[in-house]
Amino acid sequence: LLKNTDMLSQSDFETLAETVLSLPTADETEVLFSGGEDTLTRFADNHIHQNLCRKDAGLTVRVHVGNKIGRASTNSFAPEALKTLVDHATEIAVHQSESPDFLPMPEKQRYKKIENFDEETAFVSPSERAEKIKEAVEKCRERALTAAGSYSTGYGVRAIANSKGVLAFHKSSKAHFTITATSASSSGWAEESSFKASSVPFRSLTDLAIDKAVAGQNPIELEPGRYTVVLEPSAASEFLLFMAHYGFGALSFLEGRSFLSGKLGQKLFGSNISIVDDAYHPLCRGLPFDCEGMPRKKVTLVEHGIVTGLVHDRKTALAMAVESTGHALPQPNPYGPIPENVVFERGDSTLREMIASTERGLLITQFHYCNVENPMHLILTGITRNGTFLIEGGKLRCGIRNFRFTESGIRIFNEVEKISAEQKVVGAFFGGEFVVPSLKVRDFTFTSKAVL
Amino acid sequence: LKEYLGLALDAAKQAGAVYADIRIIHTRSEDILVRNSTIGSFDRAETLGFGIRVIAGGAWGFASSPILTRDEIVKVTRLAVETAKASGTLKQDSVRLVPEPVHQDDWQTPYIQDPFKVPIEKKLDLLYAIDRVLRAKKEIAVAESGMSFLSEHQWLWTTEGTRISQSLLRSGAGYSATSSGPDDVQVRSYPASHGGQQMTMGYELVESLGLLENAERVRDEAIALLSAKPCPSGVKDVIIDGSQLALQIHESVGHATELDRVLGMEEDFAGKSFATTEKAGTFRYGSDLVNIVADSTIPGGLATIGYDDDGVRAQRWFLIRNGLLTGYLTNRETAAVLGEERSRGCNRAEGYANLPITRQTNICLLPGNWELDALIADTREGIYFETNRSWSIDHLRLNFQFGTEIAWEIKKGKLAGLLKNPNYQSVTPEFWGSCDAVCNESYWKLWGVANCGKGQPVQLAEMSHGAAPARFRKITVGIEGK
Repeated sequence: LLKNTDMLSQSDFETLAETVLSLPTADETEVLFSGGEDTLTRFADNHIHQNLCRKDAGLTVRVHVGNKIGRASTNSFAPEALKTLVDHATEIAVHQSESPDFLPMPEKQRYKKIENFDEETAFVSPSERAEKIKEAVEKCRERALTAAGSYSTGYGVRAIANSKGVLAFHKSSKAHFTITATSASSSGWAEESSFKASSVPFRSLTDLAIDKAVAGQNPIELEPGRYTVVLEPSAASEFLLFMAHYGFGALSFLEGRSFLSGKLGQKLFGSNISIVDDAYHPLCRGLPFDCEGMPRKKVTLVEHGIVTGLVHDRKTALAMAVESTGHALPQPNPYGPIPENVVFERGDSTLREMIASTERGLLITQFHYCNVENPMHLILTGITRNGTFLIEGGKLRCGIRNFRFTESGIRIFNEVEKISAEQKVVGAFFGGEFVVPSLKVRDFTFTSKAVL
Repeated sequence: LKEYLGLALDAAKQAGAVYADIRIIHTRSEDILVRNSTIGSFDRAETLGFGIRVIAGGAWGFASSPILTRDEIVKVTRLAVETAKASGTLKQDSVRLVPEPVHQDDWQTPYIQDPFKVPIEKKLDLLYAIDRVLRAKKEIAVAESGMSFLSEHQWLWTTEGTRISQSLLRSGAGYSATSSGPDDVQVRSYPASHGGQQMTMGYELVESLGLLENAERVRDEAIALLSAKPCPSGVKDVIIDGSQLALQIHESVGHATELDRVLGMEEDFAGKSFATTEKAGTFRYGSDLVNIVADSTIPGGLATIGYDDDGVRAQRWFLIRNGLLTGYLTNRETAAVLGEERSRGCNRAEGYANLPITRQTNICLLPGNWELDALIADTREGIYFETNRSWSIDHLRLNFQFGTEIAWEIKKGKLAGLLKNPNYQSVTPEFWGSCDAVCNESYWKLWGVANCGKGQPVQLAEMSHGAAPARFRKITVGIEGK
């Protein structure tokens, strides 16, 4: 069924699903396919040092035997391998005790269409990738800077079917370019992704990384403490990312281990903060269905600072007497539902205005290696990187040495002074993509400074 | 499989490659998680596929596929060569590999009990028994207990004549109890956080960990933390337990000495390293007591292998000797850049689909002479930190901040009250330079790290770190951001 490297079509998947679902061993069966091809060309020190093309495909089968659940996976699609797969899943199921929160599989659903596949982007050649990189490296060389980064392209296919009528298929493509320009004392960074390679602005991204590296040369050292900060989208996204992962999923809420537990309907953030999860947003088109085959819904998570919603799978929805929002991971799992397309709603400011309105503060391009120190207060730590500047008198004055912050995401979302109208797509570490504007934030806490 | 392995090498040479290797990898895994008295997840997975790496036009190309047919192998090999030639249009120098003897070998990690043959019921009985103890008190909001097993068989053939068949078996088990109180959540894990203990062993590892025997203590500590004092802020002498020190070694020594990072290859993603090559042999990384070895041969280590993905034989060497930086983690390409005669054998990929990159092997702080009781008694005022909870380090591997699940105040040479939300911050050479005591080998243990992410696309790798509790003077603790 998967004998060559051609992309799996919807009819291929239907044949595959039919083959598995016709094996008569379980009361209910689900087939989840994930596959695709991704290429990536990495460069550093002004040359290409890694270059690859990966194809992959995996099939996971979930079976229900009575109220018992079993699951198994393979990347072999031969008929005997599929039979073994279902046998493994069934063997796991029959040896388990009955699941107290067992849910039958859903029936046939209807899905909205999301267009995020571009044939050219799915199959960019190695030489085409090299050409884009050569141009970027040349620009850096002209400014006596060293370039590092990557350009990746490819496509993915996700599909699900079950024995009760669910059938969903989606293919998407993606191009992503990231570049760091470095001098002896500074660095600048920029990135962008799109489902169309032709929409990635290679030249302007390279120029942005160069401008930051040049402007940040010979950085001065400041003392840690509280500063007004202008967070560019990548930096701002870190707080949103951990907030989404630790708070906006209904399982952690139900178990009382979320900073949102017991606070649904309460005002937790500033009135200017509104956040949604929206797989249909034009900037971050996601999947129209989840890993149970439920249609993905747009969910308002925060409206004018008030916590208004959570994302659900069918299990958490049942526990809270609401409908699934279509955010399930493969069932069963210990993580619960996760938002993957979080959108921080835009404001009306610009990055230029934010800087111009700041008497003394810092412009932050990116944070590095952030992590949660205290999930109930959403205290994160991380360190600035690739373009940290002192703002004085409404102007960028100079680069500064990097700082480590230790700060509560809840607190800073109460200190947001301005939000930009422009939003950027930022890759989410735990999966998916977020849409984030720049933020101007008062009293942001830096707790130590970098040595170099 | 020999037919496929040979076919790839022939196809690579015909397409213009001057070097090629192919890895065919078969994996089997089983992951079981019991969560709050029900099955949190139970997965069995099996994969088979191949990855081909070539040098053509003086540069690298790599391609992989899960479809093991003659046509696909030829097609993917040609794609790898085309990719390498594209790399060659923007190269600095042609890739040069340091020599390695040709190896023809079968190698496998030893084990006593095949975990895949242990009945499901036996595994679930143990996990449910742990779950019952953890959930016996109402303050525990979430109890998770799990096991994981991975069997990986690799066949590596190279155009130089190396023919290696290698089998690795990794087992792991552990649990955590999450307590919940008003506006507070605390967690305790055993034997370690992030999935527990993992080693290259069979099911005998699970039976050796004392899982059930420790469950009550772990549960009660999670509950006690809810009413514990917060970690005080200030500068203190600290004693760090072996499991936390393992992650400290991982982040501030292991990643810092990966030569690909040092040479800037990870600049745009994970960052570089302060431990630059001109420092080798002279840079004071730590105090005289700090002796850190890299060891791919140590029994039970998660990175214990016969050969790496370059076909280089496993080795043991010093990264830090008597406090001085003395070595790096290398592969055949970066060893050549450094001017070394032989690779240290650190090139490893996750599965068949990924490109081999420089990975940490098992990296261990050698034991010192102290008894733990004597070390605590010798510490007038301080904090004892145990079990990692959070980690963050800068892109040069200098400024770091770690949080642990639990800590105890040390007062007048004795462990006093529990402390919640403990954390500490320092800078790598200052931190290791402040080490003035390491406990002896009876406290020394290998701790598995099974989820180290690196590279683009991100790959996961496994390794272990050996450590005993050690003391560090005048460290900043209790960093607050509220």
